[in-house]
Amino acid sequence: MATYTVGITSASSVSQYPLTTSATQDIQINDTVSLTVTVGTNTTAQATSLTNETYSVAVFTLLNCTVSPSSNVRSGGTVTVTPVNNNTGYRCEVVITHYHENPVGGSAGTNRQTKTFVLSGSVGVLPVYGLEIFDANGNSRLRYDNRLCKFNSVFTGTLSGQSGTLSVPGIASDGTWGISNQAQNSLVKCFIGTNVIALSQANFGSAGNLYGGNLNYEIIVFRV
Amino acid sequence: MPYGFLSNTDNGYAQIDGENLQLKVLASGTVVPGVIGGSSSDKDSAGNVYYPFTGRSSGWNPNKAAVSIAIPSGYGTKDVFLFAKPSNSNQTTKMIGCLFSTSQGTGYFQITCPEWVSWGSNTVDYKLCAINSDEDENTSYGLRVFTASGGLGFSSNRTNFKGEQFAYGTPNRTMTSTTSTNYGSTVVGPLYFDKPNEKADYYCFLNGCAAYSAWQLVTGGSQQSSFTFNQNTRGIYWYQPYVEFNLSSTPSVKMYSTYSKSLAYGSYLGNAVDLASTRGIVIGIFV
Repeated sequence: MATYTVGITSASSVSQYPLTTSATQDIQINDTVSLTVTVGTNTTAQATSLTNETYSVAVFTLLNCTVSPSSNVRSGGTVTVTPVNNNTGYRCEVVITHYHENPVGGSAGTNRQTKTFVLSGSVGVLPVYGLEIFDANGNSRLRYDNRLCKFNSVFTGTLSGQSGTLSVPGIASDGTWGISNQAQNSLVKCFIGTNVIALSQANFGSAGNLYGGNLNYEIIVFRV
Repeated sequence: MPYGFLSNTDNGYAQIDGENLQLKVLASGTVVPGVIGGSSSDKDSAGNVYYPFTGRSSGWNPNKAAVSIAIPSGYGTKDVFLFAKPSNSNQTTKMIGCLFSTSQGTGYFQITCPEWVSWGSNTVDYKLCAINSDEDENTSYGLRVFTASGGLGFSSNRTNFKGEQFAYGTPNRTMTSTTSTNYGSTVVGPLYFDKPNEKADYYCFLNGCAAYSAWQLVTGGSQQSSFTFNQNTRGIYWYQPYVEFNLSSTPSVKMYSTYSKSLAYGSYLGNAVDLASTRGIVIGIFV
């Protein structure tokens, strides 16, 4: 758990203009960033507006992070940025409006200008590759770190003898293949091998099969 | 991979492989789990089940009889994939299993629970899935991937089951006495959630618990000396695999078998018994 310190300042020489100033800080999920944003000024009137005017209170736009405090933050103020979710990006945008006698590109009919400060980076280790698919509403249907549970096959039959095998090309005991025998009263146990499912008859020992069990199998094969 | 489309996650797991098929959600709903039992003689006037069907109306937790839910026409027990999860975290013990009918095409399933687990009015959310090529939503947008045989490998117009982990085995139980509560040495899982903060959204594949009547075949065990041996009833009425949700701060799901507690109505088996067939569970989230 670490706390990073980031300061972003807009140069006073551009106080007449709108400006976006950015910084990058990659962090881990338990880390925080101590962020200070400062608007450079040339005149007393500009500096006074940052201190006194209600329109100079910072406005935050956040993606995958929170800030504290989140209200009444002004130029020169410091907030703590805390990430929300791991293995994705975060972005903290701070907009501060200040007075300028003759702003360029400012709001029409006003003497105000804006400065935008952007802190962004990754939380945790971002993937190198993978596919993410969204639906028409922008919801993620498959994320780059998601595995889809997929159906491979179903085998039904009757085991002949004490053991047998079913051929399943590609299957391996690698934690991604799944099997389950759901046949009624089945005495068939199954195990994942390489390209096969091995079958064996459950051993009843000397008591024998007293319960009406059978050697039928109904094995669902799937992959995650 | 001779055909299709392959995408892997960053850590090398296949997302879409062009060979296997995507599940489609056929039906979903909410139900109170119940014990297996159907005839009117098994129930009191309130619908509580006399368990184990021998006129006993008291005991651990007389539960309602499990509700039968129809499997959509055209599908049988071998075609469907049942997933379920507790609707809320109010339960201390959240164990569920399932019963399938043997009928093909006109079958049904039930969400069941052990006798000793009281669900009260708490419910379980279920989703019944199958394989077909129908879309869930408008197909004018998104991505579809087909296998070489024309099966739907993936569609962004479907609700997906994002599987995380799988485990399989033959759950056993060490019945050193008829009041034993030992799990036995083989518990399938536990499978831990990748996203603990979303624990209420996790479903578990229930087919691995599949039963077709109020008993399951087991192997091993021996007669308890003080009880009359009855090969038709010894223990097997009482031995069934269930999945248990642990929704603590370290949430997980595992599958193991119930035990019989009552001397009068319980197992006649001693020592360890094993389920006679292999079962598997998968956990994940529908999105």
